[in-house]
Amino acid sequence: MSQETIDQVQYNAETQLTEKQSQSLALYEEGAYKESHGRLKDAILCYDRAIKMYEYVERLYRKKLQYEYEQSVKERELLQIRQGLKGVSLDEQKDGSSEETQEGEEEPSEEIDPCWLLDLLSDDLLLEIISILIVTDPHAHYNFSVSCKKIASLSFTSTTYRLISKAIFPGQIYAPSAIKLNNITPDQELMVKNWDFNWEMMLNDRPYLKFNGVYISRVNYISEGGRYTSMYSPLKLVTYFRYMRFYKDGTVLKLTTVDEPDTIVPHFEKANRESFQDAHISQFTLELDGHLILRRNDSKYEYIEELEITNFMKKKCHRLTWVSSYYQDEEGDRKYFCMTKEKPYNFSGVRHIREQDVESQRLRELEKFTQAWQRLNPQ
Amino acid sequence: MTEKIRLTTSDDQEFIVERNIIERSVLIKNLLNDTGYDEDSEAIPLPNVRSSVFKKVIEWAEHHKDTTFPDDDDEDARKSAPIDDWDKDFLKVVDQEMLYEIILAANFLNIRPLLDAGCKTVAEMIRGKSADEIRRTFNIVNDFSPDEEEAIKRENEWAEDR
Repeated sequence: MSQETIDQVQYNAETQLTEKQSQSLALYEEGAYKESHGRLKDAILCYDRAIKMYEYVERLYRKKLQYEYEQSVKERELLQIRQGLKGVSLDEQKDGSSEETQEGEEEPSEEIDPCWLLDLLSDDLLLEIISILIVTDPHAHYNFSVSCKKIASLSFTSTTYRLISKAIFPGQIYAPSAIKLNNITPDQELMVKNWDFNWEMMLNDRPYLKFNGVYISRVNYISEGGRYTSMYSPLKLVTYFRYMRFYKDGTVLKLTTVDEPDTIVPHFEKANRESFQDAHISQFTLELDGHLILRRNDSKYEYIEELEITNFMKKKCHRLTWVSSYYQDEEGDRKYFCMTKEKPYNFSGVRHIREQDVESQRLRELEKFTQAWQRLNPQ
Repeated sequence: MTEKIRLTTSDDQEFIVERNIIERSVLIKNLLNDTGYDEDSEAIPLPNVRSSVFKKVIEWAEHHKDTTFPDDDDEDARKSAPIDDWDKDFLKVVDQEMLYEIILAANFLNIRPLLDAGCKTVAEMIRGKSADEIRRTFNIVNDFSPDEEEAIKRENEWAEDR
């Protein structure tokens, strides 16, 4: 018999489960029921037994849920159609036919509308437009880049990588020691020499911080609540969040709270710092290899956190993983915090921060432009 | 009296334009300087500019005959500078086909400020729209399969957050 793989697990009306599979599924469902009623430890036992019986039971359970959900959606739609039909009068047929002719008329007109943009403009000119988007509005660049194959291929070329590099790297705050050691300069034409003049390689290789959003770390763990000697040992699920928002002036706003991102992110900025309990502002510096150091002083100690910028799947520089967190007194004695339960930060782009950034850049450019214009054309 | 220059467009229409106005076009300016144009010279042919488009280009050049444009040494600054208000209104009223033909003519005639204004107008039409809205605005056919579209979105996602 050929070995079943996880991708082959399916569930629908025709699925014939083996005895083991159905027993395992029943146990798993029992586990899910217990978990939803707060009996996590019992649930874990059920899951464990179920998985031992049939290793892909979790997949099977999800497929079954998905199938049941799809069935319920179909039923709802059918019900709506039936209700809708009751309201239809004798003109039913006429309505149907008029709809058909409307559709018939629309289709050819859609086909003959030419795409002047792609038909007329050469690649050079399209690239010019894409370049303007990169400089003025990264979000628009992204949306345009996924509109069709031709624009997608033009959106990421050495010309555009160069512009993106120039938009990203000069805003990074490097540690003075790193600047000296690696000869870091805001002039990216010089920096790219270290990557054999290959802009794409530099972008892929060189870590950077993102400013148009918030880094969030969701910490989730189960803690044993009772004493070992007791018969009854409750478990508790602990969840809290760490938030960080970086600013181009070298400061970072930090907060640790149990509040969900929906409540925190919309107001998470330095100006509202007072409204968050225990929000701190630290100074940060970056090294060329993506090592990030956050420092904050209070009257007694200096708190230092070290993180590393890493990629996550296809997402460039999406994560900040923990290296260490400690504090030191004036004598330089360090005390390290335990980091075993901590989770990495993931970046989350925030629309209003992005828009604020685009808007403030526009205003700066407008001011610069108006000054230059008035100098050249005094009236 | 300023010198007049004769030019013919692709549809054989003849235009007579003042030299200082047509010299907004770096192509024509260099041509006039290099060849020593005089009144007896033949009209300058513009084989890929239609008369209706050329009219718009001249209208733009007449409006800007006394304007001094900032140097275009700094490429990034030029790209991020906002569109001049008059140019914005001038290009807003034309249809898409005409807009692109003006861009093509500005590119051919080498009129950098008009080319920039045209490209920025297109960029403005793209801004603030979803990929679907962009496709509708420009009649772009979505040639991705649903899987490819998902993949390209994941692939390009990094570029919007920085």
